[in-house]
Amino acid sequence: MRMAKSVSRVLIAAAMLSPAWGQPPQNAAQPETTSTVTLQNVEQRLGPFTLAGQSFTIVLHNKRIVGAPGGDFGQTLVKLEIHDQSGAVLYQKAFAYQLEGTKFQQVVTASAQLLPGENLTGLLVSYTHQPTAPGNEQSWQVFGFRNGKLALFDQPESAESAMNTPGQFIGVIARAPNGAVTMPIRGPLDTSELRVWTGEFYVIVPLRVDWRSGKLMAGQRCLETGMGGLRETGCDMRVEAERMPSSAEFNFARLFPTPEESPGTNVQHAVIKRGAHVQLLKARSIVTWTVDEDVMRIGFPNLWLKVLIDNNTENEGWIHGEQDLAAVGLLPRGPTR
Amino acid sequence: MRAFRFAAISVLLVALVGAGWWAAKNGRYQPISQRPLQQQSLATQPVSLQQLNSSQTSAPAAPTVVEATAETEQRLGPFSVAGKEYRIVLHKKKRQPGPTQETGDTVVAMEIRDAADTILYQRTFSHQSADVEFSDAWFVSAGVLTGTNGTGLLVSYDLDSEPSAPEPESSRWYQVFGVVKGKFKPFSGPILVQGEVASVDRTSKQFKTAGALDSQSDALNFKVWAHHFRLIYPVRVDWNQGKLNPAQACDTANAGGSRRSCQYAVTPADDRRTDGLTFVQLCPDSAACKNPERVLVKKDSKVELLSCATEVKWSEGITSRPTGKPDSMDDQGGISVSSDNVQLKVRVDGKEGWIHADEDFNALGLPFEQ
Repeated sequence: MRMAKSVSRVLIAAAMLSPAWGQPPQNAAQPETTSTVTLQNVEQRLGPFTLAGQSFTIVLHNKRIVGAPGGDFGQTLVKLEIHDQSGAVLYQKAFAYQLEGTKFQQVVTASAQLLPGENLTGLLVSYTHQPTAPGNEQSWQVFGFRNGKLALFDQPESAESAMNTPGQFIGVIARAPNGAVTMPIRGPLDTSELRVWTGEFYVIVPLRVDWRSGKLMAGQRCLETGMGGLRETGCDMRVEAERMPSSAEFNFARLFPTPEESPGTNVQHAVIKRGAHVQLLKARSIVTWTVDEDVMRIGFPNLWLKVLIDNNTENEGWIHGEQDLAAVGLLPRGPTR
Repeated sequence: MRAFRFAAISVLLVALVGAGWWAAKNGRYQPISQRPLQQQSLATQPVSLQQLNSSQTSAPAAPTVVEATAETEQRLGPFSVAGKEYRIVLHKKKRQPGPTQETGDTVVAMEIRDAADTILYQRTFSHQSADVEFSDAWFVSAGVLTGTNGTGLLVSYDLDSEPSAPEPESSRWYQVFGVVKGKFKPFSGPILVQGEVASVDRTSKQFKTAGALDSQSDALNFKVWAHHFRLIYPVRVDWNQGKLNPAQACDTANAGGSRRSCQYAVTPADDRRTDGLTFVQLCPDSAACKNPERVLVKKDSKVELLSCATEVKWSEGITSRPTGKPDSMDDQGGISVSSDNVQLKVRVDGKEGWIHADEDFNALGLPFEQ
């Protein structure tokens, strides 16, 4: 009740980016009332997670709308803390929230998991934001030991800067223009994977972790030799999806022979009958890495999905765009579980 | 013995005379080579406009080929234009066979003459040397062009060059002639068209205009290949001024150089081929749209071509007489359709819309142009 009088319908909490060492965790279940709704503090604990023999716990401070109907917009994360064994707060991050009627305008959730390497281990924190602009649904942080302390690892640089930076350009697959020859060039670093929501489905994006210097890098980049040298084309990625096929008798998809739209391309028009067997083979896109304050986001500026319809190789090809993804039952929506 | 030999010869002679009388009575045993020329062509040959014209020829009845380099002559007509008669005289030589061993003749010169045999117009065509990679042959045909406000002579020029790749539509030149202020003249240079004049009556050997545009001009429609289908391009024939112009004003590029597309009628797609299920993307109007509607096309779908919007380039060429240079058509004009901006309005099983992309033309089974 301490903020009940002064809090308006819009509550903004400032993001705290620097570590707030030694602050005690908030108590759970402290209700507060805005002009129309009553908010309740809800605390969740994730872990403990053991890194380099030390134990860490993540504490999630949520706001819940009392009496809110079940659904996705009744509770949101307002602060995340990482505690050590003694309960000291080693890191905290706050999230603004905004009420819209009797629900939150945007809901933030967080999850955490160990990021195992060959010799060292990190902590991967994943955030989801719903609803939000496409490409901003998820963000990530990786924590590990730097100079003997738990710290946030440096985010991957964008593709262009990484390609221009000596020493960053590792974990690469080079492809000839016809796509026939692949030459994996593996670096000495650990590789992990991120499950990234594209707006309609998940792709598995490799991530490289340099434990010694505390840096993250793109797990792979694919290049093509062409006019004037190397050109980044995007790599194939595994796909995880939950299709929601349309009930229409026929759906229509434009199948491209290669994941590019260029003049003169022989585009095949595939008619997908209701109940057709649609296989999602793989995705391809250049992956962009964006640093947004202290989180990283991943984008796919030109995402293609390879599909096979009714096991007929004549109906195998690359699709892209909302219309074609919807035709195979992949509708635009927020991240699924 | 001598009497016997005489009797035998007499019997043989009587038998031969009898057989001859029987054959003459029953009309049999006439060698094909001795049949009248007209009977041969009507019975066995497809009748082209050129052949129809040549069948009118009074003299000589058929060209005589003497040797490869010899020139023969063929007369077309007479053609009645504005109350006067004209003939076309074609000078021909043997066509070089080339790698495909072609046979026949090629036109090397054409003359249009009046009733007094005065040459009013002439054109020459190149004749190849013996050593050629392609065998070229020129063909010339003609017919009377009948309009509401006037009549003229429509001459077409065809060039056959072998070997050649198959084309969905062949190209040829058309040239309109008429009488202006008592003088016989061409209305334009030869107009190169991938297509043909829309209205030709092969039986009466006449071309017809599509009707009057005003009191002194008629529309002459051309079926022009538009990369996947044929559009109808109307050309204004101004009988008073003796000129050809596009009948639709939007065909001309404006002063700023930007191009405007016009809407044209189209011909039905007789050579459409589809198999199985596919779809086309339809936009509500001729401008490209972001999310076109996808419409099912079945093998037995009723597909109607309604109209098209595109930019058609027109050039009237040079109206003065050809210079006689080796390039026989150095005074040519033309009608051509821009390949990068063709929109077609269709109705598929009752649903109307515009298609823009090659993939949709292909999905409809319209001819594909490499």
